[in-house]
Amino acid sequence: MEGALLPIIVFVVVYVIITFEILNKAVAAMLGVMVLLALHVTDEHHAVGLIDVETIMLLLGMMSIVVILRKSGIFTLLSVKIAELTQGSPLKILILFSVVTATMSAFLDNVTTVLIIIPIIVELTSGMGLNPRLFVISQAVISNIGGTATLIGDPPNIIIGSKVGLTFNQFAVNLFIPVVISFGLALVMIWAANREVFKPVNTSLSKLFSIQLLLEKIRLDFLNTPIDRTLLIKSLSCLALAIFLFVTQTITKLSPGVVAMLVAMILFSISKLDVEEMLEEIEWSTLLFFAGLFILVGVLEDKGVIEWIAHNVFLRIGDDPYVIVLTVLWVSGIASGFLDNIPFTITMIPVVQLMMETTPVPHNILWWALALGACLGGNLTIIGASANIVSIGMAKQAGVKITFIDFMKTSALITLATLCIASAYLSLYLWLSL
Amino acid sequence: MNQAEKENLDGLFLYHGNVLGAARTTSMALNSLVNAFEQLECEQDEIFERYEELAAAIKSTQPRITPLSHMLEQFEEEMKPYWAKEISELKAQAQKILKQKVKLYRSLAERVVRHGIQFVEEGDGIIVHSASSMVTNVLLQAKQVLLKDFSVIVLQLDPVRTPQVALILEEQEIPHIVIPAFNLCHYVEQANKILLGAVSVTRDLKVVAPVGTSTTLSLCRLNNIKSYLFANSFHFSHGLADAQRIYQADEKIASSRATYQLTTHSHDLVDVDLIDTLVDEDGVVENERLWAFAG
Repeated sequence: MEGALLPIIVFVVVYVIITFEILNKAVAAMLGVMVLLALHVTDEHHAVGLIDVETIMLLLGMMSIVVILRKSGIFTLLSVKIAELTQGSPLKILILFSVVTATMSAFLDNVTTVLIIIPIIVELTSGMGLNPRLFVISQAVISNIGGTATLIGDPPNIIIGSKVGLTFNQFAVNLFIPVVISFGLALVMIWAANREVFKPVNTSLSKLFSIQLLLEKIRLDFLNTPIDRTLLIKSLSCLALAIFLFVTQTITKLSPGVVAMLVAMILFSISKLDVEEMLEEIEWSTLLFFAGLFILVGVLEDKGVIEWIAHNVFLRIGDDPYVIVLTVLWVSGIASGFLDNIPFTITMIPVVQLMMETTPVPHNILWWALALGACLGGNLTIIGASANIVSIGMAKQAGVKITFIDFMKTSALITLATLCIASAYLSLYLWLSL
Repeated sequence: MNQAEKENLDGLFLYHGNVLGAARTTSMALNSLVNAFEQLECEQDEIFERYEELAAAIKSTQPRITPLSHMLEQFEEEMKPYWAKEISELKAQAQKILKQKVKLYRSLAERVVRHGIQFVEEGDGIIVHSASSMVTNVLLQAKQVLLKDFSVIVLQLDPVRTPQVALILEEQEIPHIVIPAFNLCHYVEQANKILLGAVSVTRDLKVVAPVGTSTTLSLCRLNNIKSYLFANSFHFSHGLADAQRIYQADEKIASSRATYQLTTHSHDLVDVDLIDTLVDEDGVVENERLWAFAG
């Protein structure tokens, strides 16, 4: 581990800065890279080679598709229709919005999903005299659960899929069952802990009347921009094409990154939108953050730090595959609750690769353990996932304050329960595979 | 209904009044009541009490939506024989009567519009200052039915309503510009008429109209711009101006150098004298009719 001290210090400092939000995440990561370059720990040509271009392409491609899709107004229309379907029933609000949030999160990024869902759910619940806090937290939690189901649903999955070479179908097939069970369990837990909130409203004429006025207000507020049907058809067709190419990846041999970028460029070409304007809406800072972290972790790998961690921390737990899988799941789950799950996943990938070399676990179960842990663990605290931070921020803008403890009161038990579901699933999977 | 629910309902009515205008708010509220009756599940002996509680809240909103209050009074009168009936019959009857009220209200509004379009003439420059659906329908029908060519100056109002009005005019290819109401003085030479809607006309001959109407009308009067107010008979209130419960908000403003209280009213009160022509479902309301109404 010669020359490892400096990269370790830089990495830890960057991690602390990211966790406590002292600086913008992208700036923190790139500042760390610049320090390493300035101190000649690595050089710029090697550093660029450490960036996982596949992940960056997949993220950039999906962000571009989502930006154009959002422009068509389809998400807002969908949310308003769901609000109408609920007819103000608190239980229907929880269930229907959760189904939409989970589905959208599985195919789009979680932050986009909550950006669309949270304003409507706050307007709907506060307008009905309910406290929106529970509903905001529930949607943040559900978006993280839904995003766990697919390769493109959550950044940890994108990173694992791209770096390890797992396909869209492999993610869907292997993670669908625990995600669906976790989703159902989360809803039951939210309902059971807050039964008073979910009492039916159809016994009160006043409430029923107010809800009708409220739904009309939501229609007027959120649907005041007409739907661009042509753009909608084009962007939905492109999203369908992207999903088709993800699903047929084993036949086409096209990597998810290539698929996403190819479809994004087709959509840019046919949408006839102002490309400059659309590009402004892409989260360049997230891409920069990813690039910076890949370099920081790559340098640690070069210096043998990751191998040291693998040997001295994870490989000391023995060679029992059950213990290894559950350790990866729970360590990822707990750590992702307190640290940003993106840098954590990037750090863990080489560790898990080394573990796989020492104790081969069949059917990529160790990767599913990492994916489930990193994604579901993000629900543990407000800072565990970007969707949580964005949801709480949006609620605050609407006058709904949610503290760290408020969030944990609802989310912590759900996180532990979903990690237990994941443990049972992975253990059963392993038992059937051995 | 507790205080928070009442305030919530007031807020919703205030919003809809600003965005939709009193006429469309009335239709929408009646339709909402139809849906509420349809979904309601309670015991037969509870239903009247629940309706009374809601009706009291609706009739005392800030501001008072006069046409809606009148519609509910008629509804209550017609429902009298049915409150003691079996619940399914009662609910069905309530929905039937309310739907009839919506139909009646719409037919009155259409009659106002039919009378109103004759006041739009070729080459007119028309100022629009309200969310009134009757005003936009007058403009649309003057263009579509009478094939009149005129231009419109839309005074910017609600952030939701103004784009709606602009879109309607754009779709009908009616030349228009949107300006802030406080900039009207720069455009008075381009205009010869102003069309208005109102929440109500009170018995002491005041018009409860969207905020800014008073100043705009004064400017129009000074520049010989003729004013037309469209309101069906349900907008005529039995009460006086001070019973219209105009919403008043007090807000504490703190700037870097001063702290002061800002009081805003949700609607204006305008003398009917400032209106040149008042049109209802029977046509122009002559002075004799107006005085008879005022008693």
